[in-house]
Amino acid sequence: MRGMPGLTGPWLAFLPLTPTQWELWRLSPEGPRRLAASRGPLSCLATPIDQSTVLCWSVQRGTTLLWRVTPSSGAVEPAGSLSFWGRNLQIGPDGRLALLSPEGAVLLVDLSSRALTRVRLAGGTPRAFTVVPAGGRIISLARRPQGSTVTAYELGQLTASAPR
Amino acid sequence: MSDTLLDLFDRDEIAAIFAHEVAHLEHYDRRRCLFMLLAQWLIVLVGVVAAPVVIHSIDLGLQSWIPGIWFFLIWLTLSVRISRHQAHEAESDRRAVELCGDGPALARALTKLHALTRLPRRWPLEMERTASHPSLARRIQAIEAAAGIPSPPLAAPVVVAARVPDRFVILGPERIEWLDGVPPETPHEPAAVREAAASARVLRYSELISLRVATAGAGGKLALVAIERDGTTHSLPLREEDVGRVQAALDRVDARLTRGRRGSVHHGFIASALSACLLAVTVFSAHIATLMLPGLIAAFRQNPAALVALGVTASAQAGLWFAGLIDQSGWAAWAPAYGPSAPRSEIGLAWLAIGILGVCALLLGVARAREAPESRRVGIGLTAGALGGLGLLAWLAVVVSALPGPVAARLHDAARAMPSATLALWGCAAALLLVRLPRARAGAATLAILGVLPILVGSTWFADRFVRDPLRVSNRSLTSEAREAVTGSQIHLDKIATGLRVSPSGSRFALQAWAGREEDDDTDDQAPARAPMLVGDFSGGSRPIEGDDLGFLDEGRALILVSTSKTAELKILDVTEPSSSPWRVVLPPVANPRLSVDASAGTWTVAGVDRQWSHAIGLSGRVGRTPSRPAGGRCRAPAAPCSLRAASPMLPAATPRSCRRSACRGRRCAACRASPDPGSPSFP
Repeated sequence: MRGMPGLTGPWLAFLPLTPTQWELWRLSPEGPRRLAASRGPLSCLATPIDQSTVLCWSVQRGTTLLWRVTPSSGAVEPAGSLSFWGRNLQIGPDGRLALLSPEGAVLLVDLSSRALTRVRLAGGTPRAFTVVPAGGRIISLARRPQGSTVTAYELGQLTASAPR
Repeated sequence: MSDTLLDLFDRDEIAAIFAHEVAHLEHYDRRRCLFMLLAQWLIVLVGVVAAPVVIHSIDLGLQSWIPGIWFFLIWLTLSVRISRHQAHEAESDRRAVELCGDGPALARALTKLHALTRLPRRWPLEMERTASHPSLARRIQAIEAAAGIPSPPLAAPVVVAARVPDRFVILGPERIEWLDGVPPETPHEPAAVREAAASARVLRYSELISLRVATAGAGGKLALVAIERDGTTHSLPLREEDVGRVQAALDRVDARLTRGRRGSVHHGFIASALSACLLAVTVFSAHIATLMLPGLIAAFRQNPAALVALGVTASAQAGLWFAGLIDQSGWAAWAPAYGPSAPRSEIGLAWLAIGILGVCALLLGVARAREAPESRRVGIGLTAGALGGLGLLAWLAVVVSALPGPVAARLHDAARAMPSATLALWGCAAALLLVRLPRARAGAATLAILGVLPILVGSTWFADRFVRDPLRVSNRSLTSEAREAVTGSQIHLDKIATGLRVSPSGSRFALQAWAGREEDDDTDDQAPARAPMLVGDFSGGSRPIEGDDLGFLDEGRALILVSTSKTAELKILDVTEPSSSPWRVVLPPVANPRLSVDASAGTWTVAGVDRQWSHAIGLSGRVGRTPSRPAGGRCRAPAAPCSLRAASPMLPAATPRSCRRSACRGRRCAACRASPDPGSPSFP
């Protein structure tokens, strides 16, 4: 992916510079291949969601767009959109996806049913900046002024099933 | 008052000036000073105490607005003080006449003061409205009125020959005559000049809104300048020896001019307030570059041209945003990369405010232009020139942006990212429309049409028809439902931690623990250097483990990646007894490595970059097996203007911090993807 640093963005109208463009490339021993380009910042999960597919997401106009990318074929397919800026998308050991909303709520994504479960975490704990779903729990990592806090939240009944 | 002035002024003049200053002191009495002091302290307190309290303790959803509100409060306080200043100076002059009882002395003192400081006797039209003090001519009129000194009309016409041949002006008691084609030998008598002139234009003083001696041209030559109510300007180059005579004549006819009306409301104050509000809201939510020029011009020169241009740019920008034709911009657009972002409803509210304030500015500008037609042309050059220049620059930027290609995609993105290519031209066109000339209207129409083109290029229609990029197809919303979660267990660590890894059931976790140094970035993928791994569980136990990355295989075992400059090693560790390692495999050296483990399939993947940061490296294998060579390969980075910065199996964005900007030609290489396909060639 390519892009230009954000802080120049608001001043672009004064400068004859190339605007931000994020590009998705497949690198293989056969050589690099450009797959797609996005206006908004584009990221991909470090772990594939199944044997052949990786999940990427971009944010633009206050919306988070999810994309399935199949590196072998170069296919890029829409996987769903969220009407807010999602932060820190993570995949759990069992393949479930979780991300944070701007308000700090946890969102679990089920790609197979295109469903989103918004989970409000119990109050009294520091605001999480990373959440990972595992088993029937959500594990969160939060920062405090002099350290960090790891919290396990019990979910009970989960509706978002594993995508693999 | 300095010693120099005391030396130069007569005693009665010094007394008059002191009386004026005493009037100021009377005005700023104890109660008024206390009120001003309290207002200043209130502003400081709001900024220092109230704003942080509101931000941190009261969730009103207004946090990101507070700096803008504070800025507005400061501006409002200063504006209220400044707006009353001119009236206060006139009051002080009248009070000085009462105190010293010598109006002519005060008038002489002020005249000397203006001569010493080289201030003009009459201000330009806009300055007359906005300056802190009235012009000398107006002050003398007011002083004479307060002192009861009669102001006799001009006794006899004053004939003034221009610095250039053939041109004359006759200043009469009721009207001014501009005469051209007067032969040089003509006697400087009113009748003779009128008789000899080839052409003449006669204007009653009531048709003029400004008549003054002004500097004209680069050489600072003096000229008599008259402005009619419709903005038409006449100018006559003056000889220096005539200036005193002309000023004296103008003093006699000043009262007969039609002064530019201030309007039924305090136009300047409201215009300035609107402009400041728009700028404040825009700084936090929209393209400040587009609105800054008309906003600043309108804030400081509240003329109709600037107001109309500001109104059109602001309201059109809001309209385009709501129509989805331009991208989110301003600091809010970049928040996801640098911190928590503003809620969408708050951004929509900001855009609504921009649109409403823009319409208000437009209506105010139009009303002002109707009410005082003479002000239509004031500031046209500055406003239209600045916006036209910005629009052309933005057009150039859009075109330059498309050059690296693919042209359609980059044109589309640039058109959306740079709304100035449209808005500045529309603002310029709106300003030009105030000039009721066919040429100006044709220019405005051309600019308006040119401004539509970037909108078309940035539209969905253009993207669907010409861009054809998979990331630009529509993406349906996910259906949503709500759940609650309760706190099960919690562990506090005395270190800053990143890189959360979790075991399959969530009973154990692993972290990278940073001793005492907090990282600013909350994306744990961007840790700049190795931090000790810490493995723990929710019973409170935790132990450090040497490694760069970790992936859980089950609740008791984890795969650890240890990387050095010469080699990398992957090994299974019993997290309860880290000293034992039933399996390990040695890998080639990998910089900035990332480990990915699929516990259910029993596979691992390591990706990173080579030591030269020129190739991505992807390696994969099966847990428990030790192949002679792990599957994977070296992948050349795209022919990007800069080199790779990081890599991982399905590579997320990596830090582009060390990219050299000049080498990037405005773009930065953020990451690439290595292919860990088992069938790909083995690592060389």
